[in-house]
Amino acid sequence: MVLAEDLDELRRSALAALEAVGSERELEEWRVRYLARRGELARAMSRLGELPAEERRAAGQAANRAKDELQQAYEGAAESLRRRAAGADHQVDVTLPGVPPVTGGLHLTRQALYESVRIFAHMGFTVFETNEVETDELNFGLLNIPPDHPARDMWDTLYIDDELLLRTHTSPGQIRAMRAYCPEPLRVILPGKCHRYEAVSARAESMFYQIEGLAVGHGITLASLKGVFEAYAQQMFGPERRIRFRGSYFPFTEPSVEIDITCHCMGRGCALCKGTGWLEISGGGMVHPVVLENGGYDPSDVTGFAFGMGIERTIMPRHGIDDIRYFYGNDLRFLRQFA
Amino acid sequence: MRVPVSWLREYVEFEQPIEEVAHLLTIAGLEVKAIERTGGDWDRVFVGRVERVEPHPNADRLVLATVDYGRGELTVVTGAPNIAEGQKVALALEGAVLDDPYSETPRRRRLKAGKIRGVRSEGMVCSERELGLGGDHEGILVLDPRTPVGAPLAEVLGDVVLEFDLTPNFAYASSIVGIAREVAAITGGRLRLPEVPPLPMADPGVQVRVAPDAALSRYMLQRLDNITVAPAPAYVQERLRACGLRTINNVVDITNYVMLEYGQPLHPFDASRVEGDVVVRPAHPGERLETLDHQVREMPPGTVMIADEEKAIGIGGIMGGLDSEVSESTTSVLLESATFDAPRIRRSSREMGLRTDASARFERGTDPDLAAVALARAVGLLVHEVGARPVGGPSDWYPAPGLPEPVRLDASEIERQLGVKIPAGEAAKILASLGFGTSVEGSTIFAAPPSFRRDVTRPADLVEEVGRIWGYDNIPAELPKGELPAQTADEAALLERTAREWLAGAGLQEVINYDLTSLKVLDAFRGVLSSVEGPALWRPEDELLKVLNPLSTEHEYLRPALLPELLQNLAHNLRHDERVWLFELDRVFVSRGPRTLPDEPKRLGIVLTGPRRPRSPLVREEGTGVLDLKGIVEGLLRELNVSEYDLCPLEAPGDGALNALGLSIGGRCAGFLFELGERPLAAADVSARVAAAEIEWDAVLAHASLVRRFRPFSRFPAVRQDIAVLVPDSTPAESVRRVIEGSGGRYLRHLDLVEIYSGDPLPGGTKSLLYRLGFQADDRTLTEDEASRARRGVERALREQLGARIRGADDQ
Ligand SMILES: [Zn+2]
Repeated sequence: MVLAEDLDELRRSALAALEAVGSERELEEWRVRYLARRGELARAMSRLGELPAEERRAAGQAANRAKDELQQAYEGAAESLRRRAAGADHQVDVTLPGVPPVTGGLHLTRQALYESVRIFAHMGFTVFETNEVETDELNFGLLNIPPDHPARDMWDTLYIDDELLLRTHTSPGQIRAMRAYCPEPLRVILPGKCHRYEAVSARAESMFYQIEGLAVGHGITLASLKGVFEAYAQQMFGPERRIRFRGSYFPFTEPSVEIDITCHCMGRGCALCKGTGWLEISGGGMVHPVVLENGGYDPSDVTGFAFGMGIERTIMPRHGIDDIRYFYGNDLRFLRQFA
Repeated sequence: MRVPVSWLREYVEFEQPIEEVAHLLTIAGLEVKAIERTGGDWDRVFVGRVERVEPHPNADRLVLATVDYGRGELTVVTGAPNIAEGQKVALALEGAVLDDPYSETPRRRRLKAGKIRGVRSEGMVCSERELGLGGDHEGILVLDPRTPVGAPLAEVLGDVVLEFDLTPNFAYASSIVGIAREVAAITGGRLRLPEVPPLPMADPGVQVRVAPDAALSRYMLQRLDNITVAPAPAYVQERLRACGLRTINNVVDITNYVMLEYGQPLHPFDASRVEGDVVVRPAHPGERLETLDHQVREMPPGTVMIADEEKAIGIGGIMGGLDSEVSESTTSVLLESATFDAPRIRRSSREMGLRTDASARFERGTDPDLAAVALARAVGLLVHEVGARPVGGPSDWYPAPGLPEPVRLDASEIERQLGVKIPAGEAAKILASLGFGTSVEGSTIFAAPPSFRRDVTRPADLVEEVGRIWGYDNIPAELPKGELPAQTADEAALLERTAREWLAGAGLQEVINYDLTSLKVLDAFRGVLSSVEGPALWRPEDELLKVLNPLSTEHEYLRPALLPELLQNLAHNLRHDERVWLFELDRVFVSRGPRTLPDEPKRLGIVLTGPRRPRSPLVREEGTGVLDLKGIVEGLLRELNVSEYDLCPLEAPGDGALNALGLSIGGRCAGFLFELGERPLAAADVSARVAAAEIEWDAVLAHASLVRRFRPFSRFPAVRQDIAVLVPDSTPAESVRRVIEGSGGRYLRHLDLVEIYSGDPLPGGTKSLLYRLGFQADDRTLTEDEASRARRGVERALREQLGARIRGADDQ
């Protein structure tokens, strides 16, 4: 049983040596000496083969126990060294700047779109996306705006060829959505990029995002448009906000209205609302019977309302942004303020 | 459109303050953009009568005028060529504040008495421009002779002007009379339209022939003799000016006056310049005419021409010819009042690039019955104010007269559309106030539109009229009744949102770019990764979708890829930021030929440059590279539960890209991850290292899922074993990983590369990769031996398959 005694001796001296270990380096030296693949324990165990078979089993077990014990002792020592080091590190100059996390963000327009979609979703509206390059027929004709109609002046258009154009509003999506849902009732939100042939200025962009809403079914009225839009405006801009309708004209709705929201100045009058206390936020109305027919519905059976708004101009006052060109300039000094 | 309130009040009585009327009109759809007051600041300016005009003793071009202004007489020195004894004029006294007529920018100055060429001038006789009334400074403003001497000018000329911004549907209201009618309907005030004498009942004084293919519905022409061309009466001039029109002469000004009053454009031709009958016909091919603005124009096909037996004399509904213009020598005119086809006018006007007051009105549609009223009104004014004498009666071509069909409306339809009950009687009253002939039977309203409301053809049109006059303010806000449509979760939209939010969380900022960009921006990616299968980052010009009428060359082509604009964003931001991590998830455009809707597939684009983390003294600085990008893309694919993908190095990516990886999803290359090569960087003037990715989003969506499956894990501890593998530098880490995975056996559950090392004491051209292997069984704790045995198997495989050496085991 010489081996067993040797093992025991080795175990005890190793544990004693471990007591003296005071640094990571010493601990590593200890590990290499006792536990490494060519360390003292391994060498002792390699001698197991020299034992008679009947002793080998017991000695092997003892050797494994010793190895486990040393391994555990090693890990314990390593852990306490780490704790001690950490303890020393606890003294931090807390006046140093914090370590900045890595952060990104969504584009401000996207945030407003997602916020709007969420609000409308609560009222039963689902998102319906359609294409940006449209036919003249979808963008105008089927929306009750035939060629050479004076209302065409309301949309300065970028054309691809004599049939294709960049949609000037999300309204062609109304026809596409109606054709997809007809004859079922529908409530959809159509968000997307729109394009206009328009000189770019602080107030006007050639590309902007529009959110269009469309509801078709029984019991859809101008009063329900007012209700839906007021609920949206109050969640988006604050519960104290009110909206009002003003008569307007869009060939694809009748009656047509402009939707105004009370200004941030709460009626006191400011430069933004030119002293009126109201800001124009959206246009809409009851879907014109011709458009309902073009969408496949029977206008004597169902009614519909629709509205559309430019998202950038809608949120600019809320954030105090005075120039729409910031949106798609993609300057991080702008975008990061809203991330 | 400008509407002087003094003029409006002649035709409609109302008691409400003008601000309230303006508000009511705005709510009813006739937007009053501004309420402008004139004359509020004419202090010390009075109406005077010119008593005497005498020559200036020291200057030929100046005169001395003695003016009575009710409180006495003053002598003023003036150079105005049009001053004459007996005129009523605007006399400014010392101290009056006037516009400086010689200043380019608006400037005001205070009038001082002083000597002009040795003679003392005690005041000034004012021009329009000095009073802020308009552009004319040729001579002094001559007032209506009935104006009382001594009255402050503000009381005589001061006015309130409503500035309207009318939508095209209000063409019928785009006149003083039209607005008066709306005001009457909204306020309940009384309407009193001008007395119009009837047109002479006699054989036409001029013959008109209208070609069958000319686009118009009515043509009237009245000859008037005994014309003396002179300035128009002062009230006509004042009103034209208040409406923003130039004054020309009595004939032209009166036709314009009637246009403003009724909305019907009229045109006078000098009768002496017209040979024989008047012919209305489509333009001959290539026909040319010199118009009033001294331009020789070629007529687009289909344009309606007014001609005589020999030549064209005007473009119908757009502009008259120069030759037949009313001039000082005119003694006889042919006065035209017609109803041209609106779309035809619009098309010709656009094709010619010529838009006039007349064409703007005709292209929105005019009422043929109004043509006769306006002609009669203008003839009456010319007779009364100019002394003109009608010759015979009007020529009148009006093949299809008739009133619009009556429309039937049930009161229940009003409620169905507006959501409020408005009784039939009340609705009928509203329609009657707008000029409709109405009758009510039970809940049904029969409404006969007046001739000027040919736009009203269906019940919805009536609902709108009722609604806007009844008042949109009175409509309650309520949530929709009726059935709720079936709700469907839109998985694609949710996945897109998940991706954007995950990328933002990973430290990337979303950008949104213009769909339209320039060839120059796109060309930075010419040839980049073009020889490899995968998403095209560049397409030749003839495959791009191009805008016919771009705003600028910067926004001319629909983008076929995201990276070109992302690189521009990066270059822009590098000017003031060092760490630029951007992504965009949006559409690109792929042509499918002319007149065919293009494909609009979405893509995900990423560009990264600069330090891996924001700068901090506590963080080690490390630059971003393609492996950051790889980590982001793999993390995103994991987030979206895309498992069927592969990232492989691309052979020979070309000089636009280096360190390139192809992303295959479902066995097809759907994206590239790479570092930008010299060429694209130079094109964007960027010198930093830039990692970039562009991925076809549909390929990701096709294999993505919002639902994640649970994978059971072992409750027993893992046994850790490290292997340090020494291989040549050229051996890809991926080969080593594959060998380990292939040879690790069924208990190998974890495999991490934890360290890469090269340099001393390793042999040159080699590297050491330290892998941490975790062995684990599901049903028991593995022994160290079992783990070691498995590890040794791995070591053997590495030696055999890669010729690797295992450090620690093989170096002694
Ligand atoms: Zn305000």
